[in-house]
Formats: sequence, structure tokens, C-alpha cells
Amino acid sequence: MSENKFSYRKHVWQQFKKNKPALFAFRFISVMAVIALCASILANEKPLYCKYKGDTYFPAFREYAVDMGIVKWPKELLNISWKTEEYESVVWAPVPYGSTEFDYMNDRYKSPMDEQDVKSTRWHHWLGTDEQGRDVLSGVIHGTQTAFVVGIVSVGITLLIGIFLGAVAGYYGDHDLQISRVRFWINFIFLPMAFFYGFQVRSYSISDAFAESAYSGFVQIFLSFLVFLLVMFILNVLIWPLKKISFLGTKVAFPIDLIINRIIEVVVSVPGLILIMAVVAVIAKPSVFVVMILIGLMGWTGIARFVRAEMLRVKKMEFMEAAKAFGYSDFRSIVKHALPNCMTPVFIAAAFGIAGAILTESTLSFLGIGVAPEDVTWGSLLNAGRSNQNAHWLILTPGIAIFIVVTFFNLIGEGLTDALDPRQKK
Amino acid sequence: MLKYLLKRILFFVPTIWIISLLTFSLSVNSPGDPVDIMLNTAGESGQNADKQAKQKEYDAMREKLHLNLPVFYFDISSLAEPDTLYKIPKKLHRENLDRLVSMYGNWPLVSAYYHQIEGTEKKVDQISAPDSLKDELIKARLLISELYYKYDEVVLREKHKKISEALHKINPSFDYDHSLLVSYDDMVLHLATWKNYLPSFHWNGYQNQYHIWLTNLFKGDFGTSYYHKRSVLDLISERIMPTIVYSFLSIIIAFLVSIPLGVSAAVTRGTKKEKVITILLFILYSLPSFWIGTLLINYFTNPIFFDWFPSTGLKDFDDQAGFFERLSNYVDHMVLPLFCYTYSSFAFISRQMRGSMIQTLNQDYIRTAWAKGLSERKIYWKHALRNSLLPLITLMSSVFPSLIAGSVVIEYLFTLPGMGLLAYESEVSKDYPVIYIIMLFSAALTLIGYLVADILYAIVDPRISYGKK
Repeated sequence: MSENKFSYRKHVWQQFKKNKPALFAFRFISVMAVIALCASILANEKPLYCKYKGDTYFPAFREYAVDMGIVKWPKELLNISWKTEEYESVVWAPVPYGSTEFDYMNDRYKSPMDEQDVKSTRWHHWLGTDEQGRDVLSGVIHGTQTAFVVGIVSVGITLLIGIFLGAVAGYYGDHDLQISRVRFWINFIFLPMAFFYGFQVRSYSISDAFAESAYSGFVQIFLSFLVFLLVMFILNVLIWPLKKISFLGTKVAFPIDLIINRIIEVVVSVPGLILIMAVVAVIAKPSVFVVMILIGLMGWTGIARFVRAEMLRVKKMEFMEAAKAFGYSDFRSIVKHALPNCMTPVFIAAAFGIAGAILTESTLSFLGIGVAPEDVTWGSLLNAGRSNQNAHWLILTPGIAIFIVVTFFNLIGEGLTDALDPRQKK
Repeated sequence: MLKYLLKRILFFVPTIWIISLLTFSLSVNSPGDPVDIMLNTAGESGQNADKQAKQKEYDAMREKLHLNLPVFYFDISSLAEPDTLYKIPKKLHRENLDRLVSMYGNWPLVSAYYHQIEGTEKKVDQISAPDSLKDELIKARLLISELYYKYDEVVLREKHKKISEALHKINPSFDYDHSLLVSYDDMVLHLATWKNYLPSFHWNGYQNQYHIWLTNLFKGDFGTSYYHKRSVLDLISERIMPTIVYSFLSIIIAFLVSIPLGVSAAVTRGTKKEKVITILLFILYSLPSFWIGTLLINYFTNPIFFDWFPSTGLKDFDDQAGFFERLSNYVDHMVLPLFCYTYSSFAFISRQMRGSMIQTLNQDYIRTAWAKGLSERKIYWKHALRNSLLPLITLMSSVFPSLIAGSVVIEYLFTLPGMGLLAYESEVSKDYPVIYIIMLFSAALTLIGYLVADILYAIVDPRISYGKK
């Protein structure tokens, strides 16, 4: 039996392979993902390998570890200017420039074709420089990294929220979430209290963390959310005995579907770009990290709708009735049985979502909204090209990069549509 | 039908209300003291003489902006936080006091410390020093004014020490600093942090900032711009025309181009020609409009390449220009922005059109029409087209929000004085009232778009029943 076993994954992959443009896009995007992953090795002002004062270092590789906070720079490497040091032996990165490194010898928009003030062709700026002498090729490579991180993080958030809310709304509808009267009212009344312990008591930890960095700020918000859930949980445990009283214990339907649909309507009704602009205006230190989280928080409505619609369909199927008959918990029914059958539109929406997130982020950084000076994105490179009409190399390459990534993710989305959902194909 | 409409409008109200809450909470949390910004006194530290006048001016403006009222109908705060904190005039002082309360939990002592700072400041303002010690006096005054914004114990102790040093240099018998120190120690030693962990609820009544803000919105008073110092409503009504004209034109153009494209794609589906068109449209759809706009400006408004179009603005004719001159000037300025607005919706709309047309062409009545021997033209453009236009109504409502967002980029690129550029400018100049009103405005417009689409649907398509399923 096992030899001829029909594998859904294999089948989808075979279907996907039939779509030539999508397959090409998939391969190309894989290559770009590798570039994004290796950005600091491909383009770096620090050498890949060097022998310096008798010791051997791998500074470009070490940078990854430092960025992740695993190790720190050794003292002797902390304040050295990499380019001017004397090394016993050294191997430079393929593009020997950092994305935020200023090459003062070649500033003020050096074209790739111009005569450049460099030691040899090895140090040529192959895609030119911008006003401050930053290497455009290095910027494009590091921008690839930013774009992929933006796409993955924001779509990840989108998926988490969208799948959860969509599944809950679709599975329970307005009538199937039965909770006892006392639980309904107690939860309703004490929601502000949980909010108080989660967010108000911790408000200064949150704002201090945000002042430090956006990352630790979001960590604190997440912790607050956990506190919030904990308080709600404790409350629900405490009121359990009250359910024994018949009046309080009567089950009432909680209109979860209605509520989630209202939330979706609110989020959908404000144009994403404007909402992000409004929120970014309040944040003291905006950065690409903040922007990608905001994009994720705003983009989940589509996925929630898809999952909800699929859930409504799947819920009526026989295997779900079987699951109920077996006495499986709601959680198990949803996660193990219903959700896997709802994922088709989610994959498709995720592919399109990555394209959309990258586009939104590059639009914002093109407008100069929500980018910190140290962030290098395709949009900010393009914006730098706007101030000099003759610096076409600053406009063309980042633009082509954005175009390729967006088109190819869209193509992958199309290919997935054909492969996963043949009904759509007419 | 009427019941459906009523229900639909009823749902509209809570949504817009929640958005108004969201907008308001953003505006309350925006950085900076609105009063200072409105008075252009941010960052100034006044001299003795006009200090009182400044304070009066400040209070008047504060009252005018209704910032002397509590924020919302009710407060949920900790037991430690006083419900009268909003009465402290300066926003930065208020924030610092709130911080101190959260650290020490004992409001009466925190408040005593605050008054002690005020008292010391007043006293030190009155003393005079010989010329040789003028610098010390200025230093002491500066240090005291900094006390309002500091909460860290180490920093504060350091400052207190420096203040006493400076004051004692002027006159060793001064003891203002002593009472300050005593009240500070009092506050630090009598900890009541437990109060921070007990919630308290306080009802503020209708006289609050949100209530006034909301009622003012209904009255048409959208607040005052920080940057322009003018009514936001005036600003928006000045800027809305170009956006409306451009959006309207671009919707019309987009539909005029995409409907025939979609129909012909559906009719010729499967052929090579159709595939090429589909791929081209797909590429168009993926091209970011800000990049295309930049390229167009770079190559078509640039004397080095092609100087065919003006790059910015709505018009550049003088008053003597004749009608046709004006018209051609307007059109000249419109070509590039309109192209940027529309090209991406070509692909989007024509794809939808193609899909719905194919669906219609598979219907029985189309087969009947063929059997009747109707002409191809009549079948496609009369019988099929009409019924496949229905889904476009929904599309129209979703094109609306994307146009508003798109206008930010395109108006920024071509410097068109519309709403989008206004949004961008206020973002850059941190003109919060304008940003939030634009956000509220675009949300309301989008919701109205959805509402109109639903109603149109109900009118156009009698098959849709809106009763209980």
C-alpha cells in the first residue's frame, strides 16, 4: 500500500511544477532568499577573513553572532577602521562595502560608468554610489534582506491572527459558543481589570522598553498580553463554583462571529497606508521593525475571511461530526481536523501577502516614513535617487529589485492557486 | 429591503464609533504638549517678567483646547493615581508626576513635593545676586526648572545637591533647598507602591475631552492644525478638490479601459493573444507605482531625455490664458499622474471582468441566445456584459480605499496639492490633528463606499435576498 500512497504534498508540487512561470519565480525567489540570508557575507565593509596582529579573525561571520547577541566584539576589534588597517593576510567580501558605510572618496553620486577614486577594479562601485558615497550594490543586497524579513515577519503575524480569529469565527458562528451566564458577565465586567493588570500597571515598563528599542518594546507588550490572559484565566477558574447555581449556570450564546466581523470591518475600513502613517507619527523612534509589525497587524483580515469561509464549509462535513461523536475537544477538532482542510486559501493569500507587505514597506520607506537612518531598504535607496534626476542608477536597480520580488511572489501565488485549488481555474 | 438597509446602517454606526475612539486615543497619546505647540512656546523657558503673562496665555489656550478637562467619560486607574491629575496644567509636568506616583504610590506626598518645587522656583525667582554670582543664580534656576521633568532618584539627588551648592554660594543662609529635600525624602521613604496594584474606577461625567471632541466633529469643528494654525476643515476642503477630480477621472479611465479588455480576454480565452495580454497586465499590476512615477518624472520631464510633460503641480498658466490654453495646460499636467493612478487597476479590474464574463458566458441563456442566432456582438456586449458587470460594484468599493492610499504617493511624487500630499506633509511636520482627521475621513469615506456598494447591489440584483437565511 505504501508504495502507491497518494501524497497530497507531492501532488501539489507536481501541479505547481506544470506552471512554468511560477516554477521559475519560485526558483528565483529561492536564490534571492539565499542572497538575503548571506547579505552580510556578500557585502560587508569588514573582511571575511583576516590575520591581524598575529590573530586570525572572521569578522563578517562574527557579525551574525554579534547581531544575534551571542557574542560581543573583542576589545581589540571594537574601534578599528577596517579599511585602513594593515593586515598580514586578508580576504574581503565580494562587495567590500557595508550598506551604511560612507566612501568619502566617491561621494556625490558616482555613476557606475564614471571614473571612481578607488585602489583597483576590485574596489569599484559596480552600481555607483549615492550622495554620501554609500555603495548601491551593497544597499540592494542588504535591502533584499530587509525585504525578506519584512515579508516573513508581517505575513507571520498576519497568519497567526488571521487563522486564529477566522477559525474561531467560522467554527462557532454566532450560536455555537455556549458559555454560562455568569461567565459571560464576569468576563465582560472584568475585562477592564485584566487590561489594568496587563497594560496599565506595566505601562512604564512598556514605554521604557520602547524608548530603548522597538524590539524590547514588543517583547514587553507580549508579556503584558500574557499577564492579561493569566488574569482572565484565574478569574474563570475562580467563578467555576458559581456555575452550579442554576440561574447563573444557564448557557447563553456568545456572538463571537458578529464581534470578529465587526473587528474586521474596523480594520478594513481604514486604508492601511494612512493608518500606519498615523500610528508611526506617535512612535518616538520608528524603524522598519515597527513598520513590519504594523503591516502584520493590519493585514490579517483577508486571511481571517478566507479561513472563516472555509471553516463554514468544513464544519458541515461528516468527519467533523465524527470528531464530535468521538467526544474530541473543540480545540482538537479545530486544530487537528478542521484547520488542515482550511489551509488552501491561506497559502495562496500568504504568497500574495508577502508581495503586498514588501510593496507597502517600500512605499513607506520611499516616502521616508518609518525608516531609521540606519535602515537600508529598497524604498529608501529609491528615495535617495529622487533628489538627483541624473542619478538613474539609484532609481533603476532598487526599483527592479522591488518589481522582481513583488511580481515573483505574485506569480507564486498564482501558481499555488492553480495547484491547490483547481476549481478556481476555468 | 428597507429592513436590510436599516440593519446595514445600524452596523455602520458602531464601526465608525470605534474608529473615532481609535483616532482619539492616538491623538491623546501623540507626543508634545498641544498647548505649547499652538502657542509656539515649546522648549522655551520664560524669564521672570513675562512668566505670569505666559502662564495666563497658556491657561487660556488650554481652556480653549478643552485640555483642562478629564480625557474620557471614565478612568480606570490605580488607587495610587489621583483622579484630579488632569488639573495640573503642563502636560510634561503631569507626565512626570504620573511617573513619580507609579514609583512611590503616595499621591499626597508626591503632590507636596511638586508644590515644594513650585514654591522653591518662585522664591528663587525673586532673589537677586551680585554680578559675580549671576551665573550661579541662572544655573540654580535652570536646575530647578529641570526638576519638573526628572524622576530617576540618582539624577534627582545629584540635581538637589547642585542646587544647594549654587544657592549657598549666593547666600549661605538660604534654606529653600532644605525643605525641598525634606519633601523629597518624605516621598521616597513613605512608599505605598501597593496602591499601584489596586484598580480604581472613576466616573468623569460628560464634561470630558472626548465628548467635546466628538460633538465638535458633528458640528463640523475638526480642530486646528498645529502647523498651519488654521481650521483642519478649511485645510481639507481646500485640498480635497484635486484628489476628488483625479480619483474620479482615474476610476472612469480604469473602467473604460479594463471592461473592454476583460470582455475581449474572456471572449478570446485560450488564444495566444490573450495570454500575452494577460502576462502584460500581470506585469503592470506588479509594478510599484512610486517607482513608475519616479521613472516617468525622470525620463519624461527631464531635458536630458524627453522634456514632454511638466513634472509638478496642477497648472502653470497665467491669468490671461484662454480657455483652450488652460484646458490643454490642465491636461498636460494630468497625463503622468493619471497614468500612475490607473495602470495597476487595469490588470486588477480586467481580471475580475474576465472572470465574471466567463462565468456568464457559461450560462444557459447565453446558449439560448446563440441558438436563437443572435449576432456575436449582441450576445457579448448586450446580454453577457450586463450581467457580468454586477461584481464590479463590489470592486468599485474596494478601489476607493486604495485610491486614497495611492493618492499619498502620487501626489507626493507630482506635488499635487491634494489630500494625499496634505497627509504626507502633516506626517513630516508632525501635524497630528490633520493626520488623525484625514484618517477618520478616509475611514468614513471607505465605509460609505462599502455601504453604497451594498445598497446598489440590493437594488440592481433582485436575486439577492437580505432576509434571514
